[in-house]
Amino acid sequence: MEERDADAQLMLRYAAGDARAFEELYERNRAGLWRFIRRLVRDAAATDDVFQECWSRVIGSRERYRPTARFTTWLYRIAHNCCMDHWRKSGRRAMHETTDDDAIAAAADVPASGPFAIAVTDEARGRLGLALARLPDEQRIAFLLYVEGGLSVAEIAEQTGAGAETAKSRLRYAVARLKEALGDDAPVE
Amino acid sequence: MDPRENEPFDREPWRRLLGTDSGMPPGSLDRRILSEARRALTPPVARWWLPASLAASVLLAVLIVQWQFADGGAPAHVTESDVLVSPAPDAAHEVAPAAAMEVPAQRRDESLAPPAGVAPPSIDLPAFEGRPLPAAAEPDKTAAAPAKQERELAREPSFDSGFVADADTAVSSPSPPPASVQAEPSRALGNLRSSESNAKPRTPEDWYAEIEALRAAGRIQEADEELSRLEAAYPGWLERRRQQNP
Repeated sequence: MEERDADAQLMLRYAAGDARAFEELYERNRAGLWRFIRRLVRDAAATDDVFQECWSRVIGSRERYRPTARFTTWLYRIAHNCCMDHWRKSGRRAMHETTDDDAIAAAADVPASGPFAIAVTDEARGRLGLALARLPDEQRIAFLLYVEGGLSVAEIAEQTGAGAETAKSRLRYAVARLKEALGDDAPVE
Repeated sequence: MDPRENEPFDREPWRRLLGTDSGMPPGSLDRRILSEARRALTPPVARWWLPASLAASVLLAVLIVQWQFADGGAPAHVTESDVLVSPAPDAAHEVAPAAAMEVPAQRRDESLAPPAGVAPPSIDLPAFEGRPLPAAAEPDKTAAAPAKQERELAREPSFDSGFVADADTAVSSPSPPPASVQAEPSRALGNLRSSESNAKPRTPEDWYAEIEALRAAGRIQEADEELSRLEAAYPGWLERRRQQNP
């Protein structure tokens, strides 16, 4: 909780004119946000564009920012909106399950590194990436907003324009599919 | 109510699992975003540039106007004959009317204070106050040309045209002065000096012209004294002149 508050404080300091606060805020959130966008957009070049557009909106909204919610919730809402705008511009329907195997493979191609990588086999990571890429868009969006963005079910429902029960069932379906794909490597809850 | 009751599953293990993906935005993208963030904090140039340039323009205009007034208001170049006779051009009047009007007031103060032992002439003083002075009207014009030259040299606006109109109506129909007298006030002044040294009797016309030359040169006291002497030497001459040249 303190960490989340720290993000909000950094944003407020940046709005007050502290450029270093933004650098710290960016460093704390850049990797997760970039992965979130890449898993939604599934296109490397478009990921960069959407990622930059997202931070541009954060920068542009600095004077209007009020810490009424967690900063990450606000940030991932912006990111989701940027993805939706990207889909509208590119003519792609946001809500459909992709059948483009190349795109799925690109999205699932996750390099192994970091401390947790030791405990996760390359095969398990590959299965997770592929399973996530094969999820229907609405399930993948709900899952990523919930896990990466930290949004609550109600917030996901509001953000995606669905009911709370619908959002909850999407999350359950998504987890069931991912567990099925991971088998014994699935996280134990 | 525990908010976790609404959570369909624990997100932390999944977050850690997703975190094994070490995908990162490229460094060039990081630099672009951080640069944009810094740039956004820098105030735009137009915020201070426009008011600053406006203020500088206003200040410059005020300084120019003040400089023009200061340059055009030098009282040393305004003579009394300018005030009494010559109509100033309208443009010059627009530039520095206040400065021009200060000069006649100053001269009038000088003329009101008679020198010790000399009685102020009875006909000269009213002329400076703008009242009718028929005899003084015509010779004043003899000094008009050199006075105009002085004005041109100094680019000096001299007189309020309304005051000229008053003087013209007060002095009833002054006839044009002789060209020779109009053109040579300094020569007339020279004649006065030489005539004083020679002490020869002068005609009242010459004497009067010399008096007006003195007046044109700004030597008001001397002119007043000479006018008193003229009145004493030729009693009634001024009155007759006034009748002949109304």
